[in-house]
Amino acid sequence: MSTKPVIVGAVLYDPKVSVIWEIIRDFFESNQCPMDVKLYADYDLQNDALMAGEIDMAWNSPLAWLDAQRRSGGTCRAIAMRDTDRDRVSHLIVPADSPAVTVADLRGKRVALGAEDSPQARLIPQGLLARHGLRPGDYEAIRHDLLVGLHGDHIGGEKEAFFTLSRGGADASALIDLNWEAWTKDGTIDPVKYRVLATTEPYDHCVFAVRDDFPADREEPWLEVLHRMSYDDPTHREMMDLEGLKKWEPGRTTGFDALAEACELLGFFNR
Amino acid sequence: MTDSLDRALVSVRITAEPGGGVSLYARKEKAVIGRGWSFDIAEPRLSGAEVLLGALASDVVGLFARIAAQRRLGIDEIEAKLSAELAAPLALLGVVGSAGEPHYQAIRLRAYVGGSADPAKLVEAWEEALRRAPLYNTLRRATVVEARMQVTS
Repeated sequence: MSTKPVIVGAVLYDPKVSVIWEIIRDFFESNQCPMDVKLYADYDLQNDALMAGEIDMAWNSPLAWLDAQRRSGGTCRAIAMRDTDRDRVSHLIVPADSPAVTVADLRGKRVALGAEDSPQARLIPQGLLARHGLRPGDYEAIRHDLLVGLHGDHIGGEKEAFFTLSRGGADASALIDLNWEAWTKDGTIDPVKYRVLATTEPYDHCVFAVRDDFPADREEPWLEVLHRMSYDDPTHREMMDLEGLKKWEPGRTTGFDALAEACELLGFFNR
Repeated sequence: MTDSLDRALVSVRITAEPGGGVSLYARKEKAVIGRGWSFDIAEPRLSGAEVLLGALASDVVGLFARIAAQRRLGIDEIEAKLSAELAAPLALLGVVGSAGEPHYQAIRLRAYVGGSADPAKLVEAWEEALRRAPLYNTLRRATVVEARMQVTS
């Protein structure tokens, strides 16, 4: 096994996340697979580093994955992802007594969205609206641009969007299924007062991205150790719970079409 | 340097511990302190920041208790809550693209004092403690330090 550390980039949306990466790094070290973690303040900087070869691998948001592909001419590879990164969906929710029955009923209405660069709470939901014939301008988009650059990892914008809805400042709001589940459980959202109006098609979330030239003799041992993590092993479980998964899966790139379409529609990378 | 009428000296010795903590040796005593600031809620050791707050509490509240005792003020119990606010935590973590210089931008101490003593005399004792507390007086020259005392009974 190579003794040269694999340098993994990660974006920090909360200082506490640094603890998770320390635990993961220690896991790799204890499995004789040296790994260093380099932390970034936003995904643009992380992709700069990936393209420049300053890091070997980037834990990229779905938007950062598209950006890496855009920058590299489509040559980056997604080598691993969490089971929970697969087949996510976002919802457009409305008050339970809303007259809206279909997405088209939001024409001329106010839709509360997350941050500008949030795939789950802005881009993909706006893509859903477009698929139902509602282009930007056919409705009032109320964005909540909290911590732009973190691609919605920081859920503040998404939560603020719901609060805008709850205050009557919007007719609908967008959020990822995981937050709908979590917030209806923890009391943030009263599920009696709100309902799901529409749901996006499934999409994929984060991936470990590498450049095409990342050597196999470094990638394979790293992946082998990654896949050694087992939720059945109590010593691994805490780490996996913190990172929000039960199993590491191979990377796949088939789940980003809806986001790519939304980025194109909204001219996201041309802004 | 030795103690004199103008100044007094304290010194300790430390050895670095794996993971960023230190073992602290003073006289015949030893304490293990974790990182200067920890973001890990499961951190098994007191962080340097927590020890600092403890030191400030000892400096101010401990001195207040001694002054109150010397003045025979009836105090049943004293509790205090302290907090410190760190500016630029991402810079502390070495995050690429982070801005600012990590520093304590606010430290707050709120003491709750219960007992039969005249509240006015407790306030006098508290103000005396603040005047005489060296760590408090050092910190307040560097940052915002709020130290308040509330009589609860």
